[in-house]
Amino acid sequence: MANVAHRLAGVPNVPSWLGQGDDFQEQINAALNSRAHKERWKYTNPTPVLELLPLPTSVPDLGALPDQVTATNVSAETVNLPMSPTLDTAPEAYAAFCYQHRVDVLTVDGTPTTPLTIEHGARSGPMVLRLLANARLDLREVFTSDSDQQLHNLWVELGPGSQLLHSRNSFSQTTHWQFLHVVLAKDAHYQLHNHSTGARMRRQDIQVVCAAPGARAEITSASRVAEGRHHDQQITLEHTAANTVSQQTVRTIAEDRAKVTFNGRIHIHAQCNGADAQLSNRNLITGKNAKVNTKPELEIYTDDVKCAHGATIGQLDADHLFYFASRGIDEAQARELLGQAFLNSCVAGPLESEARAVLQAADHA
Amino acid sequence: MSLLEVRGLHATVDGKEILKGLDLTVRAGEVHAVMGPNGSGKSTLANVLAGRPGYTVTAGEVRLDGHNIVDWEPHVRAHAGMFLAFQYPVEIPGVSNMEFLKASLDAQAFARQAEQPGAAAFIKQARELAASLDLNPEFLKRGVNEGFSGGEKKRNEILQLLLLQPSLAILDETDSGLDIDALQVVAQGVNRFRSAETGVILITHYQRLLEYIVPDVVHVLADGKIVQSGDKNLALTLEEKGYAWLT
Repeated sequence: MANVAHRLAGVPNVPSWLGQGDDFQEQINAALNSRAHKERWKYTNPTPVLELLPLPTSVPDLGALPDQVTATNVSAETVNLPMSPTLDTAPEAYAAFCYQHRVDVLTVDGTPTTPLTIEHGARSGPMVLRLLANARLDLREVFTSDSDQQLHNLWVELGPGSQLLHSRNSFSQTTHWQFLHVVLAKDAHYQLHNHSTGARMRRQDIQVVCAAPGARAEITSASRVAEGRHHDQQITLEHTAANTVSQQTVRTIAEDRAKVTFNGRIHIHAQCNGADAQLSNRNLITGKNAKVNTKPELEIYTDDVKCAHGATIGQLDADHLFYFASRGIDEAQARELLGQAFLNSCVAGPLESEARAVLQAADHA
Repeated sequence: MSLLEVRGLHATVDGKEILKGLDLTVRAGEVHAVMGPNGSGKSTLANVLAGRPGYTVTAGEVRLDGHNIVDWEPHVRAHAGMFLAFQYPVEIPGVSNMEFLKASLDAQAFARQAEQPGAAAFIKQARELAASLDLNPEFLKRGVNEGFSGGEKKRNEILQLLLLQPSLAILDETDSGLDIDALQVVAQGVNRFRSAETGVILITHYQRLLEYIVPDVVHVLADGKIVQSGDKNLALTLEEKGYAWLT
């Protein structure tokens, strides 16, 4: 990792408020060499991701912006951007931001009547999405580019009482790193429907902070990792305020020689009475020599909380297969139907039908 | 030609021999009851006929419509007209009953090079069958057997029997766990299935079911073989005397 930090020495765009030169270099070095960071990258080699950071990016296709959504871009010099906490939790994401000369900021005020659809190209520059107080948005992100290396970073700030319905379909097959950071203010509601396939390398970092009372985050994720493909999800739920709620339901199918990693961390800080956090991760291995690493983690510093987590890794049930066979359904189709059934509850939201077509098609990617 | 002809069937489960030279002939139009004490091999017979993995035929043959099916995969046996009503139907959350039934029908139609049923006609038929078996048609939308009571699961098996219209139905202790009302509904379903072209093997512990489904032949299975066969009165004798006098 140290040599990578060295490579970051030329980061051109270090905001002045962070400190200059050696100071920044020391910070990023320390972060990249930290135990927490190495743990996050235990099962996936970070080098391909770090090599993406200095490459040029472009503005994704935002289509016709809905009313009440405004797009601006600012220089990274501008203070009051939500990136700074990321230095410790995801230094590579922070570095990605520092490399780029501009940040696209989308601001939502009110309730647009149409969804905001973002079609990402190969490498989108860092984006910030802000929902002002009581705003509501239906955000749809589609990642289809099959260009070699892809990088997508999104920081989301949800104002008091705002609601974001966020759907993401990530079906590209090359090296793909997605970083998502969401901070919820009082009574904000965040809902993520994540659908993905495996890829040559697919890494999804999702960090959600329930930062004020009444904040609520719900994540469902359905993934199907085909033969020999890679899929690594790191989801962190920070509860930093009392009476916050989070729910994560993550389902993944691993086929022949697939490499699947899931790390789901729930961190309930001190004085967060009434926090309620649930995490369920289930993995179904349908092929031979697949590898699944899953680790649900709880870190709790308040007594009066409700928390549940669980992770399972299983195979198709022979009794189920025989029941299908006894009705004339051959094994291949039975496996297909049982795989669909396994993912079913987590294929949802506005991009559901597109996701179903990819995740549940017999000849899926 | 017989619908089913079993000759000298030996079968093992986990290396242990359970069926030890079983003979059984079922002609079209006949209902055969297979009775016997616990551990005699009744359920093994049902599973061996249906081709369940883990049940190994070591000798003998099973002919369905003249074809020896011992090496056939279970789904191919289903295509050839065999149906097993399970003693313990499994719950499969996430696959709706409707989807499961349609997939079964389509797979069988495809295998027989018959036309697949249209969606509207299929839904209508499934709903009618559900109603005739006192199953709330809403059940069709739920996961296969998901959250069903024991009786509802058994009625769902009969629904599948009537929908798929096999030539040979094997009912593995379909009467177990049923109250008298459910038993009558199930029996009506089986009687509806009976015809000059179909055969039925009823595997049961109790004579009670045979009051509602009158068998043509009653067999007693003990220690892996048929040790006695007779008409429906044999069942009454068994009810009275138990199995001990036979072995």
